[in-house]
Amino acid sequence: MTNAIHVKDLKKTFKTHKREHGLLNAIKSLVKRDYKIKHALNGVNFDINEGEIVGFIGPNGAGKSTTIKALSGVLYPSSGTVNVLGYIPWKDRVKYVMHIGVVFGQKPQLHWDLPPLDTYWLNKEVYDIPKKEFEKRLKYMIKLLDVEEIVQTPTRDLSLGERMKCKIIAALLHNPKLVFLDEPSIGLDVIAKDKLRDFILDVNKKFKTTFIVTTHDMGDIERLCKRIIIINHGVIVYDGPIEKIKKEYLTHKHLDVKFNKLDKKFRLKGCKVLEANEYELKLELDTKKQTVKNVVNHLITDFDVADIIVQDPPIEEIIQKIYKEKRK
Amino acid sequence: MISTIKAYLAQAKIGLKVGIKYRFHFIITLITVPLSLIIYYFLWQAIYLYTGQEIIRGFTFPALIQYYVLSMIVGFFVWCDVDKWISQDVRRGHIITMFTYPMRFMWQHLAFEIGINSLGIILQMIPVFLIGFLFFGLSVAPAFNFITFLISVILAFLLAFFISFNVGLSAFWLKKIEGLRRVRRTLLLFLSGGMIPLTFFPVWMQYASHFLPFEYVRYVPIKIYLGEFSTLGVFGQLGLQAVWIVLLYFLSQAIYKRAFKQFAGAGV
Repeated sequence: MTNAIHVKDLKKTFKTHKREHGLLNAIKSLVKRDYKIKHALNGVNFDINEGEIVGFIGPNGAGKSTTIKALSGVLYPSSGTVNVLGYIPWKDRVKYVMHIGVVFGQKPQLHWDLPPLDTYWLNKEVYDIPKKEFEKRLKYMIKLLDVEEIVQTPTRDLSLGERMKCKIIAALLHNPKLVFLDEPSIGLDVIAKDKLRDFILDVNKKFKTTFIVTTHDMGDIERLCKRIIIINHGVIVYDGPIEKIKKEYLTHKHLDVKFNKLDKKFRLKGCKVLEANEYELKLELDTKKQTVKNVVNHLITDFDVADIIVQDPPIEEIIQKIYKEKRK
Repeated sequence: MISTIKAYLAQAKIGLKVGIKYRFHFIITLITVPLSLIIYYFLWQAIYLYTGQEIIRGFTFPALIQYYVLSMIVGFFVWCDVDKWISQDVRRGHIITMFTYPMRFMWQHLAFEIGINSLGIILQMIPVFLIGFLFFGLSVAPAFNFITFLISVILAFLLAFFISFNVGLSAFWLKKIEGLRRVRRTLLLFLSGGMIPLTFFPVWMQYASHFLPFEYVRYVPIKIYLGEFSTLGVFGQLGLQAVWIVLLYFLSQAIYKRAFKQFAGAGV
């Protein structure tokens, strides 16, 4: 496999104004400004291979978007090396961005007054896409995302989700080797999210496109990525398979049990009752002390059980645990 | 090279399409033309009658009305609000999407403005010419004057673009540049001879104005149309326009480099 991205010891320091609130301080700041040094990136290292889909996650202000900006060529880092597809992104911006696709969930990238189709035809010329290939790819993407009529409507009249789909098409038309998706599922309903994820997986498989996805939606991560990179306070706190995270930090299971009638009190070693009423019981099970098998057996033999659902805790909790651990 | 040209042509086409979308704006603006001309007409008629003079500051009354017609034609052609777009994009943070797009920032804007203004030629310039010919005694210029006028107007547009573009780039530092834009518009209106011909200004101001870019945006093309330069003088004026364009182009490149560094360094 070839290396698509190589990042070594990437650092970025900002100088920002510091100002207390209030009018007096505002006036004060006209004369004397206090500066605060902010270390957005404190030595970030990672490599990404061609054809990977990597989830890039972290809490707000962790350095996610700073990293993405450095990788997409719109940010000069303070120090460190970055090599993306053989380019140093912030040198020779125009040449470099020909080879990548960028989608910002929160920013407009289509001409507001015109249908997306006009932007696509513009992109055909800007990225110098051969007509045949352009038409083939456009047709394929329109079909997969089901936006036949949407691409003919002025962008201004489209919903958030429709616009997102159209933006993603715009970013992928030139068959970029590498695509940055920043919050791609913002504003999408469940069905649309599903379609979009299938689409990304399909493009990844077919064209070996590398994707870097930043998101707060754990559904995106779980469906799309085999590998995640977690960043916090400007350093990578985890880089590896998502399964490993689950194994190391998934020491608990959640059981949601429904009863025809619950007439006895439930007590078992390693089980914590989170919620209980006449028909329902929510349990948290420590897998080191108790097995799922035992609990289910106990429930079925001694209780009038209607339904049992066994679940992993949501991944947000895991990430929070990692954050907490690293902070110590 | 050819693919690059095609790319910017496509961008100009987008400008044209946006213009067509807003054709109503162009057409409705036309209504203001006869209205302003009528106001100028009666205002200056009163002034000429009151002073009892045939020629004021080198203009007869009909010549002055011609001047205003031409001033409007050139005014439409050189209209350029690129500073507004840049400052909007900077403030809303949309500018980052432009930087991830493989086009040179300045050329991307220039191509767009050319596209949108080319619609103005059809929907505004030609009708104002007709109104001028039919109702306000605009004389038909000799072919040489007319052709050099067109060249001069195109150069004037480029000049207006670079003035506006340079002002727009200041948004990378100042964020809100409404005040600066107002200064730009006012200077452009007065010192280009948009309100009154520059001959109405004191001599020292007329002299100083030669060393500013503004009169080359409006006053010079008008005077070329009216045949007030010798043949050699016309080429001299075109040359001066070109010099200003080159100067402001290099200035804009220098500012842009810093602007991008400042943007990329601070990371909006």
